[in-house]
Amino acid sequence: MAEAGGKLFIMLPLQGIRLAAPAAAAASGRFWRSLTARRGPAGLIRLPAAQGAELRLLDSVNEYGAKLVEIAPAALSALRARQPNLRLVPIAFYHTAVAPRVRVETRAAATAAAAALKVKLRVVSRRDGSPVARALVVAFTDFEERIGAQGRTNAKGEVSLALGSAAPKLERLYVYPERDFWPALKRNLVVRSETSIALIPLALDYIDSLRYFYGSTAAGVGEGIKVGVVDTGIAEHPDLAIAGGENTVVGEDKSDYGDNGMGHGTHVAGIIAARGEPPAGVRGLAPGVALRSYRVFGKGSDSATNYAITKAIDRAVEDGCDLINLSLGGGPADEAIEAAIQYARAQGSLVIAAAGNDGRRPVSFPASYSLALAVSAMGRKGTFPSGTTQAADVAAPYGKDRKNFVAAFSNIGPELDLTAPGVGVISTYPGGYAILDGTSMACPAATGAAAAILAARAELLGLPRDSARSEALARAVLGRARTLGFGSLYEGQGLAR
Amino acid sequence: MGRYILRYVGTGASPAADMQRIRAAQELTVIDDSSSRMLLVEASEERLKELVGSLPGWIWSPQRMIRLPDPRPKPRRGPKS
Repeated sequence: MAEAGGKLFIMLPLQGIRLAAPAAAAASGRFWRSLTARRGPAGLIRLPAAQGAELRLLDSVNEYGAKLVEIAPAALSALRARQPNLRLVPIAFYHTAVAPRVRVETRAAATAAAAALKVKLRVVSRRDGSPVARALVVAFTDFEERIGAQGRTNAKGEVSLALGSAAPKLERLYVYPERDFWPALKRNLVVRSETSIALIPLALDYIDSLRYFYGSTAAGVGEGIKVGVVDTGIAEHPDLAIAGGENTVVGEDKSDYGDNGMGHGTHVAGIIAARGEPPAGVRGLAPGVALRSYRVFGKGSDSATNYAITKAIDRAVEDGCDLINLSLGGGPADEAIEAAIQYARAQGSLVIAAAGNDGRRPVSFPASYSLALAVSAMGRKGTFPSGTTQAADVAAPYGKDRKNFVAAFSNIGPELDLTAPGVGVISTYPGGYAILDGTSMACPAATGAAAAILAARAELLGLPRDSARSEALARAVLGRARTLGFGSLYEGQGLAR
Repeated sequence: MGRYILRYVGTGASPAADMQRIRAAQELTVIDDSSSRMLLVEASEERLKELVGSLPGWIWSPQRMIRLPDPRPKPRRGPKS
């Protein structure tokens, strides 16, 4: 390999383990069959029009069968962009089931005396000093060790925290309002009872990272595209038009696909499709799309089953969604969700998934599945006020424009396809508007950008709903991405636009 | 006993005969069958493996939970006095 550190993958067609006759005629099929012919010394294959992308063919069942290949991580994104309907399964090594050894675990050590020493903080609006209720206050006396306490403010804007001292020094204090304000971050703060934290009210015409990179969007952008949001449901909101959907949580009313009490899906939906106009409302990247809500999180729950997610993807495909947004993930790979994503691709739909927020850890599942388009989160200095929590998300690498950065919380890796703004994003929220951060926000930004691109490609949308269609859609979206200079392990093909 | 997803990954719609066999299977309870190519069932893993082994084109996966990804830092433990 020209680049060191190649990884082994089993290369498979979109479905099954052998290229079927109809698929052999598609672009990915021609590529597949040509691999053997292109094979150079020691199995090295240089891919045309894919700078830096080369692979080593180590073994092949036959011309149509599965192939064992070695690919440098940095070249993986380029290969996936050019051959989007190939499945690349990392090779797995199985070990004997040796019993685990006993390990010492750190024990929580808060004493009764410490718990009794509580500090009362007050959260207010910077505009008029009025109390901010239901704000999450997270205080750290030792940030590195994550030692601290958290709580929510009451109707008076007050919260009591057990911080082990009457006047503790906080390394960091995070205040996350539920909505309508910017979250705040204070460092090295000595707090005393009645210490007050003033939050900056949200202005809907503020140029956040989303608006910085995409500007203002015309009302009809995205028309003709159907987008499914698989999430916590979408609340009724003056800026949102919900075309339909389904609640796939077992045991709940399937027609209840509104917000489950978490607000997450409503925020995601607004990034894609909000139809408001600042300063009275907000607008997403593709306000003309037909927006559908598939609720997979139960009422008041922050957990969803793989069954509900799988069923929601199926339903979105059956309802004709061109794009399916998954701002969720984590845990081990799941065969059922993989099968649903594979089914979506075979029916002409694209699944776009969040890379995860574990801070430079590997891309989480299902974004890590090769048939999903994985999105990392980036941000830009100057698109959030000083003193907000977004300042803690700034981290290297920086882009060609040194104000751009990959969010500190974003997962990274060769599975990435795109990056998009996910730091300090203003969007719709039940009962108003909120600022959230995460690859959960970057993912719908990529989905919205994809919808805007595809709405202008009637010749692709009119294709029969099969794998050739989804391959063409993926090529169109990935082909428009623009590198920001972070490197493919951080941004895939670059900014979705 | 646990909850498992049974999914047909063969070509076309799931065979009606297979669906009927799953619904009628002993020591297995169907929790949800409102999807055309998938069911949620409750059974022992051994029973499930035995059944799926006799149904070509079907896969199974244990039901599990996936949490909302949250980038906000959280305390791991409280401070000492």
